[in-house]
Amino acid sequence: MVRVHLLALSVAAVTTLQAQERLPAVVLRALDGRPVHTDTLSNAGKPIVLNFWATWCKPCLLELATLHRLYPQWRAETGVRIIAISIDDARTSSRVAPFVRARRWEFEVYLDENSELRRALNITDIPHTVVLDGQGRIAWQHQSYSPGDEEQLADVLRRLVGSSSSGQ
Amino acid sequence: MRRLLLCGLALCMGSAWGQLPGSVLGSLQLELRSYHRDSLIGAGELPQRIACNAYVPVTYRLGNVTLGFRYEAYLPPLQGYDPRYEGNGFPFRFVEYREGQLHVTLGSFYEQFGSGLLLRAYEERLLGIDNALDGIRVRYAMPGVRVTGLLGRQRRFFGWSGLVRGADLELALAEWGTGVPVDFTFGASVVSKYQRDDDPRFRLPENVLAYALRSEWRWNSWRLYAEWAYKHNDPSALNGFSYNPGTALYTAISGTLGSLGLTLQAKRVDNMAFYSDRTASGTVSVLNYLPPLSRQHTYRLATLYNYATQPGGEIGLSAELIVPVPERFGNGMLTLAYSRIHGLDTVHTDAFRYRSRFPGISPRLYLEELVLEHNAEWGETLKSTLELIRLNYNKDVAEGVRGYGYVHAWIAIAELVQRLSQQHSLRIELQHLWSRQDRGNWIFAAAEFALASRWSVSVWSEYNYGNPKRDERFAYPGAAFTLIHRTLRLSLGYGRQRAGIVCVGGVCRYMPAAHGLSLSLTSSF
Repeated sequence: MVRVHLLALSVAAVTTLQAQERLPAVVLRALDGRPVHTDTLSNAGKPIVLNFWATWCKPCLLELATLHRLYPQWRAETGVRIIAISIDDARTSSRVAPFVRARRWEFEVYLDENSELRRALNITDIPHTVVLDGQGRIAWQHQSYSPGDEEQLADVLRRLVGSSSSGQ
Repeated sequence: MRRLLLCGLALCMGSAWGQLPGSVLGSLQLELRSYHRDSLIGAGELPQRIACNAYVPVTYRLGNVTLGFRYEAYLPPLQGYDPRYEGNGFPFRFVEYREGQLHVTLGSFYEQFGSGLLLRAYEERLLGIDNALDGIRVRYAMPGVRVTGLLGRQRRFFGWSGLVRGADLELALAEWGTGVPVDFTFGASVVSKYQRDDDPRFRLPENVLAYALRSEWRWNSWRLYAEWAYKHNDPSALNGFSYNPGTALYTAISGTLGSLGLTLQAKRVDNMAFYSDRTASGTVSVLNYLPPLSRQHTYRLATLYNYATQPGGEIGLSAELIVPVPERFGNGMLTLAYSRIHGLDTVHTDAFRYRSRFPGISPRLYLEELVLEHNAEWGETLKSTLELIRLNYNKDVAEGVRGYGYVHAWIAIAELVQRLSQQHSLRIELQHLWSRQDRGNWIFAAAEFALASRWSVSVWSEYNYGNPKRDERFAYPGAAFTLIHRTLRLSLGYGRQRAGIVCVGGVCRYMPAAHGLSLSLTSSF
């Protein structure tokens, strides 16, 4: 019974806590092999979208194909920078670069081969989207993807850009 | 009353935490399942009726210091997980300090050297894998040079066992600004494990040393990666107390030719099971990761015959070609993938040793797989995936069973995702597997209706209509309702689940047949 209470305590604690986090400091790899330090990611005061995916994740590919289609419009409208973070491990990480280049995705793609950033953000499943505001704070998160979810993401980006411009 | 007090305390804790300086990140995953007896499919009933796995990781960061823990509860563990997980506690806790190029971790941590041939400590909850190390890790990185050193014990359920020491050095030439057009990275790693020899029959090495060398070359869009690993003799229950050393060689070439994407991989593994505990097997106490060359499938029937690396010995290659498809054929991608894996040719020289010449390809085929996949977008509202798989699967080797031999199968898959309105979508999946071996033909169908960012409802059924044993032609129907709100996902399902191998990343675990309700809750903050 004590164990059940401990579990209930954890559930209650988790559901009452509020995020107030900046991105943890982790080193990712760009497709050209260069290290990318997550604590230095910035976008000149505009939002950043981090999308966690893998080459074998079918809903992820649906979502990224949609983001690829909408990226030019969103970039013009909100100045957003989209970064797709692949959690493909050693089995499939070699596939990522040709996979991305053949699809001509315009957003940046980084590798998180042993899921260090995913784990530091306590992300359970993919696809998972994290939006950073212009100051690099985590402003919004969403997991899973169904067609139409991108409308909500677009609203979040417009709101972030609107609030930052009205605050200036 | 006591529960109310605890929940009240939790709420106060939550509010107080919200006021702390610094920042907090956490998540919750709760998997509940009821088990009902279903003698037709061989599903047993649990004495407790309900099983539950729960995970609550929380990290707190203030300046350069991060504190973290993960609470886990298995009350009792879901069927298919090792029953030795039963219990609850804090098996993962750490404190990290970062100052410029220095990064020090005390407590639990995950780590990977190179592609993992020597060391990969990671967590894969779906499979019940958590081989975290617990001790101290120091990383130092400056432009073009990265050094890691670690010392610790390995997680074993709610305790730690063994002693593992390791170091890794990586030198990246391009980061030194030499202006050389070819980007070259060199890496070397060493891992040593200690376990006392208390075996009355054999004289076993208490310290086992293993080392690896790797290099990576990049030129324009092309990348060549090669890693070689060597392990001194490490007799264990798993390798039949062989005193042979272990070796592994893994290479990958990938790049693009115009708009074509190409990936080639080759691997040879000989006696490379590496555990911190020589009595362990399966996914417990494993230190390394041997990336499999078979394709990572996610469609239901394609996972019926899943192949994982045979650490005792295998040699294989895989190739994948990605071709963009013109707009009139669906504006998408055509993928052609082929994998072929054989056993190693070995000759026993005495009871504890064998000879294995390089490359030593045995005629004994473990797996041959040909995959043709077509992904297409038909306008902005319809997306389709068609997949055809030809499989030649050595069931005896892949599943460690006897007398089944090869399964030759064709699998056809069609998935359609239709956007019905701005917010509504319908997903249909149809799959068929043809085989004259094992359990014969299967058919699978699924439908999912979703309201974006709100909820989805799905129904599916898997039917083994071609089983040669007529009284085992079972259907495995199921349904689920899922609520989604930002990072909260709550799913309630009911159905039958067939017994089989579940694999993630080429590591597999047997899941017994089950029948009952399931509830899944995930959330992060």
